[in-house]
Amino acid sequence: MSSLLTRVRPRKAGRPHRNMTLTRADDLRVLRGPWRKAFAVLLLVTYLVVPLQFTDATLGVWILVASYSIGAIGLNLLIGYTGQVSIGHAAFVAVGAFTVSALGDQRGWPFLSYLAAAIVFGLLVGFLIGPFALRLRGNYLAIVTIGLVFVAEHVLRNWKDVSTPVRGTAPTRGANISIGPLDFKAGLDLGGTVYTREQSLFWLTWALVALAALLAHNIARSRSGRAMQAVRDHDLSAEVIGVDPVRTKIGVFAVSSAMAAAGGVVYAMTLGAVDYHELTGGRGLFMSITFLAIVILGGLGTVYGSILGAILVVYSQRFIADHGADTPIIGFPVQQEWMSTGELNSVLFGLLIIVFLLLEPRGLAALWMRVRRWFESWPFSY
Amino acid sequence: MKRTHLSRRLTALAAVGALVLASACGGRDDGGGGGDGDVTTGPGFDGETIKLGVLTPSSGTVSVIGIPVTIGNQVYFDKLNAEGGVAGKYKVELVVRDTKYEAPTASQEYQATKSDVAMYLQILGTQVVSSLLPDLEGDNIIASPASLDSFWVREPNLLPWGGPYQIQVINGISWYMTEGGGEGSQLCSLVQDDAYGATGQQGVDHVASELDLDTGVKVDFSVGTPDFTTHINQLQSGGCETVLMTATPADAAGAIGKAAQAGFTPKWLVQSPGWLKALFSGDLRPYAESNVLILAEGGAWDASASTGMADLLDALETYAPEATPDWYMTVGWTQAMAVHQVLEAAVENGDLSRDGLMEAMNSLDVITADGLFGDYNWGDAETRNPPRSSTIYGVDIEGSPIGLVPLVQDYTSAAAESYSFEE
Repeated sequence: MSSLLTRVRPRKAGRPHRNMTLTRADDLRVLRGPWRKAFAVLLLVTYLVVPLQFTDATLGVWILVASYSIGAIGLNLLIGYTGQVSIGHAAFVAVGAFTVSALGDQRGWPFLSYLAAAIVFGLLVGFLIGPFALRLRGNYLAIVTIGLVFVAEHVLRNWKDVSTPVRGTAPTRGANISIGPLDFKAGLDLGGTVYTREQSLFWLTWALVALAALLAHNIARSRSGRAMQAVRDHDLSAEVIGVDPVRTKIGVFAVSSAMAAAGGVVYAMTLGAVDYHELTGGRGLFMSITFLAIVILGGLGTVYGSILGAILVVYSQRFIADHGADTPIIGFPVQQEWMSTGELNSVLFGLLIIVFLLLEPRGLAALWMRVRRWFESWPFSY
Repeated sequence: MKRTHLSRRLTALAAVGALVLASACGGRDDGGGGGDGDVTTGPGFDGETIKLGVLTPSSGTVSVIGIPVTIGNQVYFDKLNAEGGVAGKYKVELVVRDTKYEAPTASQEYQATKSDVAMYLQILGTQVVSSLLPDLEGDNIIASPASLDSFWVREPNLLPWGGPYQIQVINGISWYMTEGGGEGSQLCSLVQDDAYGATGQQGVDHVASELDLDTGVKVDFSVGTPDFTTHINQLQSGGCETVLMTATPADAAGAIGKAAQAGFTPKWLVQSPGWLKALFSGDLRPYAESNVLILAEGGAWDASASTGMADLLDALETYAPEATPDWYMTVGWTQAMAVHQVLEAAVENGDLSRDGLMEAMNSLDVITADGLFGDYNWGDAETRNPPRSSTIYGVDIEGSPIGLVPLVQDYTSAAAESYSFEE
């Protein structure tokens, strides 16, 4: 045992700074120092209060942001922590979304059952895909993963019982979303106060984001996480020091896929029905690239960066759609103006990626890190 | 120990604060209707202005349909507002949002606008409407689909207009295979692989069964297919002589362009959403004029064709003089006319709430389109009966502002008469 694990933090005056890690217990704490605790409390209060302050329409977008956040956290484990590129993430989102339709809506499974099933299906598909990563890397792996969205399109196009059981779509609105006495679909009834579906789903979906973030955070700082980072930095060297790259790569593909499937479950909650064209093929590829953009803009190798990236990418598009018509260059009819809000969204999305990569390649997480360091070193912020 | 206490205090403080806020703010009132003297108000109606939602693709490949349909919507209500508005006193305002022809985007836009509108004047796309139906039913909102699926006929929350796609296809094929020159030819299909494509295939299956036609290969494709070489090869090698196509304009032009390159010259029977004059005016023009028929409804682009067409042309000249003439404007105008009839009935009943609008819609006996489309026998969803007639257009780029001239107008086949909307 190293001295790090056995030393006890001195209790008397003159002890080291609160941020210094001296013991194993210090290392394992999620919330270190008063600033982080205060921030956690602030987040908790925000989580509870946001649904009371925003309209259902806005909350609907936040629920969509939650689904992208969960998927992006999974992708960040794969790309940011393990260095395995994937441009087929939407295929795994489809696994979760169609599980909601097939098991939740069509067969009436309870929420926790179809959520668990989606996660298991995601894990299994990830295990199947993982071995490709053993033989390929970099650009070659990226190209292979592109194939996933097209394979998924072919499978779903022909598996009509799952992809189009009702009128060319896969309905999801009938799926149960309750945990015990808490019915999120009908709206929570707490102490006689009834909340709307969107308010209730906000609390549910962002709790799932927190769970996914905690899980990813714990994976990243565990032995597995260190193995992932070793494989990312130099897989041959990692193997020399005892890391099993085969197990690490397959494992992270499976976990990443499972998280994408969980994100797909939340994604399906935002829709009345799922259309496989949106999640596979060309549009699925666009969605996968959106996930990639979220991870890069948010910050590679950071859990909270995935969430920040999802907020930036998904919510900003909503903001432009809501307020774009107020600006002079856009609006309807398009024939008389420059562009529609949808076109403006596409242009700004592209510009956002270019500007971010030029000015802050490490993403939003790096900006946040600077703010955090200022607070943590306060009052000696230099 | 001190730190632990601080942490606990902070947590407890937060929990108490959150509970206080939660109990103080609580759930949300759904904003029920109020009175405005004469007419009960509701979402989208403040006693003076009626707001109508428009969920349409104003960007992306299908915007070539969404934009002219919305212009048709807009000029109808511009004209009505100039005359005083609904019942001569309530102005109408459109809330237009871009769906990009994508169901998830449409769902977001629906959620963002549903509280602000009385009903939806336009939701474009069979797939989009299908995915929004559960929400429309849950929120008790009426929507007029810019889509002609026969499935809409029995949907209580929808306000369809015109003959369904299946009827277009049945009439078009019936006419061409019996008297239009295609007698005895092998019938194939090239359809989009979604709910819209399914409407075309349903029409083919019905008419083939009714007329005992020789059918060949069925080929499907995804929206935005970049290259139709394999699809055309399948049709060509299958010996197809007549091909029913269910597509949107970019894909229709892509497939027909590839057929022209390959020297494949069947008669293309294209459902109305596949046509866009601009895409067939260039190199494709001679091929399209020889080989393409468009299955739709209505008459010529001429004021003498019908009262509805005369009104539309007048409104376009006044309110959108720079807009390029387009068949889809008749769709937007007809939709607006149907919604207007519901609004007038609701005002007459003195109730523009969601329930009042639903009651007003169901109280109508017929929804007229002034000759632009056939009249729709209305009533409760179970009793509705759409028009059974169609118009088969030939392509004539110079001969008409929209590039289409009617070859056979208001044609009703026996197969169309026998089509059941319960299928």
